[in-house]
Amino acid sequence: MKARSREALAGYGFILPNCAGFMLFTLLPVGASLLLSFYQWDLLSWPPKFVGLGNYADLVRDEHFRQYCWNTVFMMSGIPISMFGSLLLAVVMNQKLPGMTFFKTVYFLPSITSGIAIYVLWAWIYNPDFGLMNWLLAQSGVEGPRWLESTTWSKPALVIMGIWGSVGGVDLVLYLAALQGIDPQLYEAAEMDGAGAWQRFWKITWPLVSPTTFFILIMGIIGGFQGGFDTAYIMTHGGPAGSTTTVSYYIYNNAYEWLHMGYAAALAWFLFLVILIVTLVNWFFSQRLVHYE
Amino acid sequence: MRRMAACAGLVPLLAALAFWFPGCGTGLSGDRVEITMFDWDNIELNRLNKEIIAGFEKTHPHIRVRFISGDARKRLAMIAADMAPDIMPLEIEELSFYVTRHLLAPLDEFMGADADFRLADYFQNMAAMCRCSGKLYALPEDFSPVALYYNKDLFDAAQVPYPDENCGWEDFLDAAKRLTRGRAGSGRIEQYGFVTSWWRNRWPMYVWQNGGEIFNADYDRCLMDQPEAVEAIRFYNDLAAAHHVAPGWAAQLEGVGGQGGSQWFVAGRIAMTAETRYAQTSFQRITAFRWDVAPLPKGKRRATTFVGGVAGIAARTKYPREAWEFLKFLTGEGGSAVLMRGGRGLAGYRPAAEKAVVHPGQPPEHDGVFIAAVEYCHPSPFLTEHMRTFDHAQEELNLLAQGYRTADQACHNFAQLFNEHFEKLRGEPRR
Repeated sequence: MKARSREALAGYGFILPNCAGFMLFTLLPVGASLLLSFYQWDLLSWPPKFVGLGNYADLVRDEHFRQYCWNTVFMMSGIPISMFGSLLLAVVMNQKLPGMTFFKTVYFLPSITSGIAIYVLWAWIYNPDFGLMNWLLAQSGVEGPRWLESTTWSKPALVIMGIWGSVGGVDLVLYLAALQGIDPQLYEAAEMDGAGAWQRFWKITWPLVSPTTFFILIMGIIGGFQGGFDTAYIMTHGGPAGSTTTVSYYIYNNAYEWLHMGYAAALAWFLFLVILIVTLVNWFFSQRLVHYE
Repeated sequence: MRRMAACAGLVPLLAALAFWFPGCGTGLSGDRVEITMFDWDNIELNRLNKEIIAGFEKTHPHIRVRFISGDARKRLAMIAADMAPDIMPLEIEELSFYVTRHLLAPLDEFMGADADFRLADYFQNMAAMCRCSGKLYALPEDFSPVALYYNKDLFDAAQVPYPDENCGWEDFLDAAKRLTRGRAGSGRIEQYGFVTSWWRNRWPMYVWQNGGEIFNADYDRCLMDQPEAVEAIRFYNDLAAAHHVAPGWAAQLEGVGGQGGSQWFVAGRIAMTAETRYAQTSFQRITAFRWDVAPLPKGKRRATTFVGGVAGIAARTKYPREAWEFLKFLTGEGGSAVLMRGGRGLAGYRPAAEKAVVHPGQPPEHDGVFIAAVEYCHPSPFLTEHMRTFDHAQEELNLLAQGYRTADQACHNFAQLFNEHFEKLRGEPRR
């Protein structure tokens, strides 16, 4: 065998485990789930019953699913707020002031803290009788709502918690990196031309961090559509009255709690299509709104 | 280069080896065979199971039992992958689901051929629940009815007589009111008479006590909209909502009442709690006050629920005879003695259970109420195959507990959801 062929063979050998793992644990299950979405199957009965597009038709008729879609979209309302917060914080953190490393660590803490600990903590914060949130509101003479017990306030409660967790997280680090990549000469030139702080931000900073903003937005939306499982599973069990059940938690319940595997697969594929369409729309608009140097 | 190519060849081989799993019920060298036993993953339970297995292997040297612990999803994946454990624990509500899918071996043949085995040694109504279409598919392992634990010191301080078998709903409510105390000047309650739980294995017992039923005998109509059920649910909900003798929904959400509020009972902040005998493992650590247990207050009739499980043999086991030997040991005298020492509720094997509730000088004094309660206890009526509908219907009761529904609305909606579900299923075989 020629040296070149042996080298190629070795190369293929090295990537084979990775490819095999991808095929076995990603591609195959994804393909199987598409197939499964046309069947009714409880995982234990054999053979599964072919129902054609029946699961997709059920999905359209499913009132609960409509409610959970709305919940998922509502939970995503925190994305622009937390993005704005991250950018603002990054601009402040980018100033050469003493103690900034300490504050960066403090703001990043929620991102490295165990999710379970955070959810348990917030469940206590939201306790309507003894929780910190209502205590603070009571200090200002406001009677706090019943938060996680309330169908009206449970979603905003989780959005607030989500914003708290993500403002100082990875988004902040990404924005800081983007800000530090801006050439300081641009600001000096703008200042010499008489541009104020707002104009410098709006004309220089904002366009130059727009690729980062776009990336964070896309990832946030994708994560938002897939999100809400852990909070529902740990804090609210999707209640009250399904007001905090998101699509991902509904998929989990259908698959593993109620053993409706086919329907869960149909839900997952529907979610995939929605994410795909929204991402394509975002890409379309990004051509006009994102400034690449 | 040659060495590099050899390394590259080894990588997939190692990867393939990494994915190799030994199958269940493997043949060992010589005459020894290996069977597998699955149980819920819990440090204490794992220890007990290993002790049972060690005891069994001593008397059955030709059988090795491999213990696998995990949760329901792991068990499900094992069965779906045709690696079903030879011995499986099940909740009684799951039994019909597994039987109708032919996943459990009927035990009648083993029983008939085994002169040493006596089904009469097991609690008879528990054994009866292990039958589907006339065949026995499992044996009761450990379980416990729900009874009323009470803090004797709080009762003495409030000069309330201890609850007993004559205690009715009105007496119970009266006691709970007298045992609920607020902190002076704060407007907040610091000690509750009782704690409610909207877990599916708790609230149905009040419907039964009031003469109602959750479903009809054919299990194709929900009766939660009937007056007896509505009245029972209203009474139960009012304990927290109207009489304030039990904590509200927030406490439920934080797990305080999720399984009956045993944590608050241990802390001495709840005078009474409806709990199983499993709770005694934590109650035995109480040193700050005296406590005991009584039957649940009776309504129009005596009724309670139970939790716990049964164990069966996988239909596709390679070693049915050996699996039967182990099942017999696990649920019989040998296994039950270990389970009872470990505080696992009541053994399905009656002699072991009756022995366990006699412990002079150690609380609870009236531990025997659990044995008496076996006669009138019911399993949760919500079968695995209807869990999706149940979860949606349960939300109606949760909304009632949170004040968004009246008892009439919640019960009506609950029944409607189930009846619409049954309408869709009409014609399909069910238990």
